[in-house]
Amino acid sequence: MTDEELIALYFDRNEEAIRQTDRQYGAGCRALSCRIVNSREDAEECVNDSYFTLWQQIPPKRPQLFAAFLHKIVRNVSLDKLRRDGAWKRGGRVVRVALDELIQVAGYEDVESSATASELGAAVDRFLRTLPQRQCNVFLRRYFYFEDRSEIAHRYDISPQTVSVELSRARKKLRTYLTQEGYL
Amino acid sequence: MRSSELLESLDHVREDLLAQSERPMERKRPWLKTLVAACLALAVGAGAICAAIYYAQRSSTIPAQIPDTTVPAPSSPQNQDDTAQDPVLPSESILIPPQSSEPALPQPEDDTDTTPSEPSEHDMMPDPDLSLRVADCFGFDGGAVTNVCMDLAGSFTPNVLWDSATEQKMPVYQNLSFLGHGAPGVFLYASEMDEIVQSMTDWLDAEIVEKEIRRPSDLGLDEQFAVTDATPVLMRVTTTRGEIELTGSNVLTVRFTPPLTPFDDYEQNSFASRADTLLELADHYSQHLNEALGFLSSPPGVALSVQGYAGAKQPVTTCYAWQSSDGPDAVSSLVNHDLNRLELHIDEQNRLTDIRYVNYPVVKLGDYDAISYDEALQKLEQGQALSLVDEKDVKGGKLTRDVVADVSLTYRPTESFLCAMPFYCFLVELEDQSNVPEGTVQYGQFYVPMLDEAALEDYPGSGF
Repeated sequence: MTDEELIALYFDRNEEAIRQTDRQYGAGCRALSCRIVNSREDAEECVNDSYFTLWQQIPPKRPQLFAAFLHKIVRNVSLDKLRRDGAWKRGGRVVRVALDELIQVAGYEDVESSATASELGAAVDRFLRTLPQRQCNVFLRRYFYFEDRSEIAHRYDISPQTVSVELSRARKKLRTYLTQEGYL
Repeated sequence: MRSSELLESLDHVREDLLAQSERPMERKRPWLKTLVAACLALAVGAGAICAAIYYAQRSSTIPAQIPDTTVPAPSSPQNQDDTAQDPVLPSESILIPPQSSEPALPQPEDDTDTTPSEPSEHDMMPDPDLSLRVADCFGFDGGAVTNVCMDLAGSFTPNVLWDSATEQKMPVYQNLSFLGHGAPGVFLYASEMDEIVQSMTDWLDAEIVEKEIRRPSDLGLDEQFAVTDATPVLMRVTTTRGEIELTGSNVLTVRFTPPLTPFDDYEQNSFASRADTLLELADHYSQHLNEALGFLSSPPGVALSVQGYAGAKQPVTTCYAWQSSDGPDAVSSLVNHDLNRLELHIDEQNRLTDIRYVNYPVVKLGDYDAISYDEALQKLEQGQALSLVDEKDVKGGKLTRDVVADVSLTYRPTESFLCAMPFYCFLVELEDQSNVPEGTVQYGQFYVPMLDEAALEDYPGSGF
């Protein structure tokens, strides 16, 4: 089933939409959630909550890129769970490592930013578009999808060391960019 | 700003970028870079120089603190037993780059960032599109390579046969650890160290008593190497069964207190065949280490170095190159041997005092043309080799192919240099044999770069 056909089911309020979504995208969603919440049961719960959110958002929204739209919901729901539990450091290994890595961008002071998440996100979006494609992709696979280095390496047919180097360079550039933009 | 805020902000990245990341990327055809030569220029950046270099073509004084480079007669099993007087090589590479300006680090092919920035140790060299022919590379019998092994302190064991008749590329690697500590994005982070320590502690069936973490700022390294305190330099954990130490550059040491007999966790209990026994021991311990190290993905094939005591009760280091049965090709195995090493340290009572696993993170720079064995011999005879040994100390007082006893292929990654690249290592018999144990022969090691001159700009010494 194409994404357009799937979205049409949502617009028709046909519950088959959820079943089809799960059939086509469920495995990826559960994997993403599990990497975040570090528990299969919690991941299952998060994915179910994500489907509910999806059902509520479509309509009126009509996403152009259904998979990416869904992944954002899953990620948000899963990170929310970590936040609610006060358990950032009990998240999946890559989440913990990603937090450590991003300290190099954010700085070591434990002070909340004055910018909103959407302002910061827009800035990061602008920044990512300045990067070479591979570097941008590697950055997103790591910090959006929380994939580990070997998974990313396999995806793009590069070595894990190359992944590390790309991430390092991207983080340095991001820090410079955010500093120039006044976020740091 | 908190790092968690950054993570959460990615929720607002637009979906087209996410969708783009899902798609596999087409491999770009690399294009030739004239900076290949500059990339391989062995200039010192911020690294430290730990040893003097001595050119075979010149008569210079060997600094008193540098020991003679001696090895026992190669490639014979009886030299691997406890009574072999294994030499101790200088702790650092014998290579010294010219003390000129910093190397012009190459720019990646697809980096459109034009903002001037200081050269980064992480700038990566794209793979150059150079065909590489290593047929008839070196050997004693008309070109077939018979001896490919480690270049560690002490003796070595030929264990990899490499068919030079088959076209093979000679990879060169950028040594990412050359700055020594915690380059961001490359080395271990605190959470990763925690995981490894916990895994090792579980394996030891011990409990953690105390934990110490040293960060770059503690050692004044943050300004020197532009690293942040997110990357620990050192984590030292005291457990009820010994001490575990991890450095940010992927060196794991486990010290047993009290020392274990080498076969404490192992079935076999005789030294009937020391080499085979120790290789099995390495295999045994490496399984545990592979589990503990997890994502470090120790490649198959680890060089085992055993520091123990010979009959004379002096510390010696015996090294065994070791490769698992499903290892990759010979050259990769060799490089992996040198860059990922398992060491067992044994005391006078043959008790295992500690295990040390060393992992050098590297990035492949590219594949390069190699010179043949005959060409390398010519360079040796013309004095274009690198060594700590004076030519006048060679048997007969002159470097000729007649005094070459053996040759091997070796990679030399060091902390001082940017590259891990291949060398011909010639063993040359020395004139002075007066201070060696009976039955052994003293040799000096002379290194000739295996790469074509065109790739070795600014190499120390003329002719390269």
